[in-house]
Amino acid sequence: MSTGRRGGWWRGMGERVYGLALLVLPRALRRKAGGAMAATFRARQEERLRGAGPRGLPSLWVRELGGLLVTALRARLPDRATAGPPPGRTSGPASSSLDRLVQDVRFALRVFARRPLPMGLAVVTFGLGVGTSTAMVSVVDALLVRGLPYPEPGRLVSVYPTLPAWRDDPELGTLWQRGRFSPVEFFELEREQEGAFEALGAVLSERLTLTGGVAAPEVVQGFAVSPGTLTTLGISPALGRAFTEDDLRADPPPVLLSHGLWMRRFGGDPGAVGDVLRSGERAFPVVGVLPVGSRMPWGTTDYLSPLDVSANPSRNLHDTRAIGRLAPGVGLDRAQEEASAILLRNVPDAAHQQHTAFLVPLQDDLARGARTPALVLMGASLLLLAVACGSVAAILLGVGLDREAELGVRRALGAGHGRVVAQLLTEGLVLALGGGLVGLGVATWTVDLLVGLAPEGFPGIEAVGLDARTTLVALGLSTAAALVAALGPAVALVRRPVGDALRAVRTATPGAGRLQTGLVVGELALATVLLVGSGLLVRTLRNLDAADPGFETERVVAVSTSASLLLDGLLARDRTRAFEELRLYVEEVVDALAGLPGVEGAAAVSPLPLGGGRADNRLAPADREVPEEERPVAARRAVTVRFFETAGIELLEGRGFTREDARTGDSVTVLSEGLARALWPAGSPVGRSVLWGTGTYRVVGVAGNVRDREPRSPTELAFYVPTGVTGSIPTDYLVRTAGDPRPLIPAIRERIWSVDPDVPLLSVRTLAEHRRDTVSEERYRARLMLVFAILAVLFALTGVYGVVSRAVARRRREMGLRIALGAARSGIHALVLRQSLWIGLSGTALGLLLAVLAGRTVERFLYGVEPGDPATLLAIALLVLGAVTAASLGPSLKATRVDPAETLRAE
Amino acid sequence: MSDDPSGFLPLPDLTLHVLLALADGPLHGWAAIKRIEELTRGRKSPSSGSLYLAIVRLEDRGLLEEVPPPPDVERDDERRRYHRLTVLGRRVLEAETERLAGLVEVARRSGVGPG
Repeated sequence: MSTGRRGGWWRGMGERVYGLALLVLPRALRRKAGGAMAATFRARQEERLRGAGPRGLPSLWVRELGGLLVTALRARLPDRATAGPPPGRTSGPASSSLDRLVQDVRFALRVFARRPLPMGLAVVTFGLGVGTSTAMVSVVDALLVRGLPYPEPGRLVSVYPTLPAWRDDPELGTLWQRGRFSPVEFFELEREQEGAFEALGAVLSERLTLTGGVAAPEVVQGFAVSPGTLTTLGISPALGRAFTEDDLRADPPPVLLSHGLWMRRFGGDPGAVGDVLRSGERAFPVVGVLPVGSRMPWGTTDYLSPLDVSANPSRNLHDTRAIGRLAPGVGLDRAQEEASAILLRNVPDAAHQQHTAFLVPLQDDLARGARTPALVLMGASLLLLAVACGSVAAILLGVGLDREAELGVRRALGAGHGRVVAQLLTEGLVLALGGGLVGLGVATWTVDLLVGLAPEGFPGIEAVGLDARTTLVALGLSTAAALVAALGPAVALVRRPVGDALRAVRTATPGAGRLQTGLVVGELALATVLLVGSGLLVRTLRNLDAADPGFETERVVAVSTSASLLLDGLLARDRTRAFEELRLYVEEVVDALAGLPGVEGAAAVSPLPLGGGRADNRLAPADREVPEEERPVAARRAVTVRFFETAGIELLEGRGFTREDARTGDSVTVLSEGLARALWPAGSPVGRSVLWGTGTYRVVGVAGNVRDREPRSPTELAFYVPTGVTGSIPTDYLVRTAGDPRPLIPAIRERIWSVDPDVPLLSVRTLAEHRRDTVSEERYRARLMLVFAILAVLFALTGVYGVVSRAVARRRREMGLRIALGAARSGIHALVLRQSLWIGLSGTALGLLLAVLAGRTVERFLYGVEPGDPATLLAIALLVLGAVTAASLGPSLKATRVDPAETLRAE
Repeated sequence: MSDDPSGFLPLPDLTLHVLLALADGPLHGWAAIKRIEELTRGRKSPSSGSLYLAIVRLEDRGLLEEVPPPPDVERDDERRRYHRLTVLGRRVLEAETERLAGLVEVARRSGVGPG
């Protein structure tokens, strides 16, 4: 019966694979029964094909191949399974392989014991290399490979409003591209979307200080979420219920607790549902508890509260995040178009810049800051592993060369090349085991270090840890690296003629010695590359720190509050007067803060310098025609009167704002220097007017430029308006202190709460800390790279030490002769150092070349320094050469202490 | 060879089945597997690897020996090897069968098992 053509293909495939798999058997068994096994397999296949067709084959293959593996293992173990007493013969497929393995391992351990220093060094080096690589693998795995903890995470997207020009420009991959929504914009988006999104959610960050209850007061992180958010993320409470329509307008609003918070403050008691969460005077009813591990994508989530986006009509508050779940089968582009159309349609007037929507897959969005650095560091750690392998290989080679006599005897007695190589590889594997164990320890420590050093809120960092998968990776890397490290020297050693080995002829050995030197040169090159990289990153960091932001950071405290939530509260109380109430409230707070002892001045501003918000306003000079596209785009800041003095921004021309301006309701503005020049390249702008939307604003002053958002972004064009003028009311505060601002922070908090205790404060800290945060990623990168570079240099230096020691040992006779003939010590030193310098120069030169070639890839991480910066390269080169010289001093001292009489006697 | 068969007892499971399968005459690997399946009503079906490891070891111990293929069999696969019980092998099989029978007898007398 024919089984068809497809059957034939499978049959052939199966036989071929089985034939290959036979190789796992010990040779003797394979020779005896391999063919018969294959024949039997073939027969089984035929029967299965006839019965179940090709579909039945995979299960058969699994059985047969599995059985083969088990057989291969059992064949190597002592034969107790077949029948009674062990057989008379000792050689057979059963006993020798395992016995030999045990023998090799025991021998390897003895070899190591006799040479604790180099072997110990090898194990440690290995461990460090494997450990750091494993740690990096687990980081990359957690941040980039593992998906988000939501159902079908591939359909989740972040939605941002952005200017059309910026969306299509990949160079502007900074925060500028990703604005935030005003509540009303989101509301319209959600209401008008026509099915491209299965669900949309709006999210605002919050913070609360919890009081009362089981534990001590603690500050917790929460999110106010629109009803669609939980649907989008597929989260439903494990206990209690989700939010309802009525909850949106409840005051105080109900909350959903995270599992962690529930355990911490309610001891896991189901009665928490129905209880309250206390914060000062307020009591938030608990209506449910989230499942274990449930969180918002952006990090720690302690609680959720409901967000009503329909309540807030303001278009000027831009602090709402939006996420969405694409409907099944809908592509990102289509959803983006649909969202863009809605945004464009709803622009109320020409004062508001048109925005389109920019959609990013949520996973990519979260990993954005992390992806490239993580991969670069992954590369660096693999380089480090390569360097570690090189070091270990050099050590093994050195040890092997010393054991030439012993190896020579073995070979002379008939051990084939295979046997000797097998033994050396076994030694490598024992090394791998030791190194792997050390490596696991190093990896655990490194992972803790990486997580500890990471800037706060680095997305996904809490998921980083060692688990079964990464441990397997560690062992795999360790084994592979050990085999690589051991194979080279092993092969090189067996290739030497037996006679030479027996006589331990210490002539210059072209093969092995050169290999060792080559390895070390390679290591030095790699170490140089890493050093150059970290040098550049460190300089970048220094440049970023030193860059003048244009405002005072040391003695100013920045307080950020949640403007939307504040406004929501007021709107709920009295819609018509809400804005006026807000304005008065803010002024009251500013006055209260200014009255604190130790405070020189206070002001309110939104958005904060280096903060969020949106640069989306096009201005034009009133006195001449400028076409739409040429109008500069600027950020708008609403400020109270003492802002410029408080922030330390210089007023270059004209004046700041006064209470008069607020009272008269005059439309005035202060321009940043950059904006002033853009509008009027010549002459003073004071007294002139600008057009913004439908309004005309008189310029009363010009302020110094402010570097905003990321220190690396171009100086922002900005204009300032007094509070209330354009419908914007600043709700964040700056407080300038006479001395060290930190002790005043609690007082500042108290003072703000004394005006209204319910106001949620997001953060209170100095502008300096705020600013340091913006370079936290760079700092992290630089530190890690530096750690790797130092490790690489240490490895390379051990290699240098090894090579030079060997060279000295090899030339003992020569040294002895020279000394006997009256050579000066310095001459001996020079001899040794010449060789090490040669190694150092080659390694450094190679490394510098590689660094320059690789320069392009790191360009985007640098600031104020070029990848091929000569000063950095020179400094690194000198550093490495210095280190190499230092490493050679030991052996060269040994060389000078050679006793000439002894060496001559040994002739 | 003057080994005492009782020295081989008790027989491991697969060994017993292999010897049983060959009790009726020499077989090659595939046929032995089929016979074992038949004997155990499908419960036992060793993989080719396990079977041949057992056969090779039994051969080493002298319980099996290889024989040339019977002349009347179609030569469809040259690699097939045929084995049969040796005298020792047969005696070991008999000894084990007796031992097991004795066990069954004891069990029956105690009221256990098929009456």
